[in-house]
Amino acid sequence: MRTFNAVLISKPQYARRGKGSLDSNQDDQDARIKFAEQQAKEFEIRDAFFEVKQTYTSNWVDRWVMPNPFVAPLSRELAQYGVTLADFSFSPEAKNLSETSLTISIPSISSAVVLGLHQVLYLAKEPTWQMAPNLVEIFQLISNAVVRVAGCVPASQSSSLAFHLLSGELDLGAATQQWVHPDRIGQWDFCGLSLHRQDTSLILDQSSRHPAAAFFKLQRTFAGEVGFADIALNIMKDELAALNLLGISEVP
Amino acid sequence: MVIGNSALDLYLAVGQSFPHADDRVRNQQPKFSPAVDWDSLKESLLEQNPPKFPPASSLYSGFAVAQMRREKTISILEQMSSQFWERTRQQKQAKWLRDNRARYAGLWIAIEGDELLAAGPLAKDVFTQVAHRADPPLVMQIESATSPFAGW
Repeated sequence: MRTFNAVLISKPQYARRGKGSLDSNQDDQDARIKFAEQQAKEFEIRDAFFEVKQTYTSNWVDRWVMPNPFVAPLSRELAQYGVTLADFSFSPEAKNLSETSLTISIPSISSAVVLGLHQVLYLAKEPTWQMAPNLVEIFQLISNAVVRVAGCVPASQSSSLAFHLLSGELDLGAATQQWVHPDRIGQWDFCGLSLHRQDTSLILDQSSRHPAAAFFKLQRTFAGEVGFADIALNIMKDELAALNLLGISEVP
Repeated sequence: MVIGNSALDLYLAVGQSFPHADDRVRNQQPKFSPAVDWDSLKESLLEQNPPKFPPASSLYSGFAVAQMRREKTISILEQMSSQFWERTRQQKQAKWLRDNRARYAGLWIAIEGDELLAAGPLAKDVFTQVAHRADPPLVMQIESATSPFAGW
């Protein structure tokens, strides 16, 4: 869970309330402060989930032998982050070889890495931007080790960040109504938004998990040679842009 | 657009940014640019009212901290990105040299990552060909495959 304060850069309620409060007798300074107090709200991001999927140029079936060649180098590299052999596990529920995978839990950063036979999933639960450098460092280290052992490089990468935004007093539904023409689609409590480009997509919808909350899903694809630092930088920009759509000017 | 000092200016600036703003108010300011300068707006909110917002308890300090934290994270990530690309460049150069050493033995070469920029028997010619580049590439002479005879 991430809690943060942010200044709203546009808010329908302000205009509605402001018309009554900003009369000619009111001091400008006080009016601005009042406006500022109205605008600075506490937000909360819950159930955030981050995933990067690397798809490699070829599979490593021929290297998927016992003892598994990925375990020794990765356990050595990850020991400094508190990862032990107890954090390595093979998928017990795999029904066939294509479903087989090696999962590495990294409890210190609430993350896991799942190695399949031609792709690697990097997962982080409740990531925060403060821990981004740690995530980037560890994920990059694992990626480098996989490239060394597998002898092939990622052909493409895709990232996905999903989270629920709780806004306290702010009516997120009202903020979404500025995107639509009510005379064409009618009045709705919450208007979802889905934006797509060749390498990016943003889905903003009403949260089905938390009342009066918004759900965000940001996806982006990257070339195989791009590192995790650049992936993180781009996702941060995407998150900020997505929050800006609701008038929120800062990320936690 | 520069946001004025008056509360009315601020109100108009924000009101202009969404369709539910009061038309009557908007009509008073027909020359307003439709886009709001958010940096100026934040500046006017954050910097012009410091006495009324104690840093320790204010919601605005929370906003400022979040902003500083984000900038710090970006700075660290940008450094990590530069290091990553530099390491990648060096690895590509090392691989190129391993793969092509025999082919260019005895010659001067200029490479950037795994891209050959120039090659020739004279260092001067190779340096001249890459002199215009902003980032200097790796220029070196590849040793001959066979060692010269040094006599008995």
